[in-house]
Amino acid sequence: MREKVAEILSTLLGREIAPGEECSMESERAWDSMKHIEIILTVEEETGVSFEAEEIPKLTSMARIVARLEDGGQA
Amino acid sequence: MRHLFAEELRRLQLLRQAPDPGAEAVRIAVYRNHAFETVASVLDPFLAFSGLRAETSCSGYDDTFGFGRVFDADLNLIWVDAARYRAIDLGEWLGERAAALRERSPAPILLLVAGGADRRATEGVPDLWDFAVEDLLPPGGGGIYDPAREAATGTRLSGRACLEVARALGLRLIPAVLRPALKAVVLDLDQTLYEGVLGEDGPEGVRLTAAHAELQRHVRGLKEEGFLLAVASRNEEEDVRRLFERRPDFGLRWDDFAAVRINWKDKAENLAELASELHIGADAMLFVDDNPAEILNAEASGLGVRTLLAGDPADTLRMLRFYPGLLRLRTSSEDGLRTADIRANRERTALGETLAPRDYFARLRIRLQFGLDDESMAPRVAELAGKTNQFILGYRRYTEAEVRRLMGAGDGCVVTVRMSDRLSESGMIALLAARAEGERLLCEELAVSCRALGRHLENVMLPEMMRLAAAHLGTGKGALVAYRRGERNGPALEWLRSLTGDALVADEGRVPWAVPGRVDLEGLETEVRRWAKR
Repeated sequence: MREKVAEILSTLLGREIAPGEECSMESERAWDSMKHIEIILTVEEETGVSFEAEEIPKLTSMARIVARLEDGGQA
Repeated sequence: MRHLFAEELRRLQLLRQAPDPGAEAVRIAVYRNHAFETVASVLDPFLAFSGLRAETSCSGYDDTFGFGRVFDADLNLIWVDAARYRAIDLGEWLGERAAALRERSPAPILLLVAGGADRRATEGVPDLWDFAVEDLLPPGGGGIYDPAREAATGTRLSGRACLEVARALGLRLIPAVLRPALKAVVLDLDQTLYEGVLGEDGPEGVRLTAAHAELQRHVRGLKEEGFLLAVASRNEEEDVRRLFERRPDFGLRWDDFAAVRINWKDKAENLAELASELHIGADAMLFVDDNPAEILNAEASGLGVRTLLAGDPADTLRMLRFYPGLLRLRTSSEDGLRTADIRANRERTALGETLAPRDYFARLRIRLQFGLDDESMAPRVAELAGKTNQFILGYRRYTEAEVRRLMGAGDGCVVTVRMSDRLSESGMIALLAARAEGERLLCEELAVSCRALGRHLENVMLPEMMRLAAAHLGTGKGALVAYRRGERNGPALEWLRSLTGDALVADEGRVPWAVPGRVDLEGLETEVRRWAKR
């Protein structure tokens, strides 16, 4: 799952992001609030998982997105 | 590129598509009261199919649509969520707001309303087309709205709906506003319009599946919208005639086709002949065939014909529904006339080969109705100026609003010509847009529909239009004719060269021409109608 999310982030943020890399809204200049919505929509489309509205503002790093997808719990 | 036409769009796949460095930039000004960014981010992959890319400027969120700042743009988009309003007549109010934008920007306007609105209020605003967002989405898909997420995403529209809006804008609406429409769809028969091979299965043996029936209905609908239909098929023509006679279940009839090439010749050769018979450029044709080799051959021919590889009929139908150039936003009474008019051309051509022009006019009973500043013609003038490629001098590509302004201006006028003969009604087939420049007439634009070419009319009808414009504006006999060399307006330049004697060496310019005091219209029935300036 981490590989999939890294692949999505690489495409949307415009640089190669390794699966083990730290990558977050704070560290990525291109990850602004509108890009955040795109990332969420793309992750949902590619994984078939639908996030609750209140989760969306919290999924602000690759680690959080992967954790949410892997354990199915709340972000 | 087939992912652009997929039943289910994928954002990641679209975002991975490499940008086209040669695409032409289109400045789109977005005035909105909900988020457009999730649409804008995936617009370019669809626009690239038409050689375009978007440079988008978005206003802040503004429920009042006050247009505090108006951007320079090629296209305005008013992006409205109707659910944000209560207790107002939204249709009427949006019509008023669109008219306010029209006052401040000459660019065409697309009004897209989520939740829909009464469209009647926007009918009087020129160069405006409005759509309910819901109508842009494929039927039966569901999931248009996701209101629970509005706070996070800035729009009630779901992610899927945003992708579909981008597809509708990028493949259909924006090319329809900014690019000339295609003019003809050329269809293969076997395994394209039905299942089976006519030569082997016979007329009763080929199968019309439900999906093929829907495809045929859609193609028939294209004809009703004004597109010409033609056939390019490796078959015997007599067998094909019999097929259409014996299959009343087919949505398409033999008479729906303006021209056919049913033979065993190379299809690229047939496509070139069809373009010539229809008097259109081959690049205004879309060729639909299930055989990849035929498609490759057509693409390699250098004709510039657009191609669509038919496969599963449902896929073919979806591609036709989205294919750029197959949406006509301007419709006119001419749309229903084209096929019959072009079928009648065969008889006209035969007569034209044997008779002198005045005898030819008289035998066909050609009637020309000249109109000066007829505002009811403004949409058709914009359409003809927008899509003519062969007989056009200025390439001015007027919007409807610009046409109306010129018709209303004291120093300008637009001359139109409606034509009919004993074989068919051709509708409005020529326009002249002119201004008085001192004592001289400046012809800004002159365009003739391809359907009217080859009837020996150019040398009488066009000078008469110039004479009428000069008399209307009181400019005397001197005129300047503006021209611009385009890719395919050789016939118009050749006419201008022969008329003026000027070599037209520059790529654009103005050439002097003496307007005749009288034009010999013998053999023609003519009428002149003038409308008062508003």
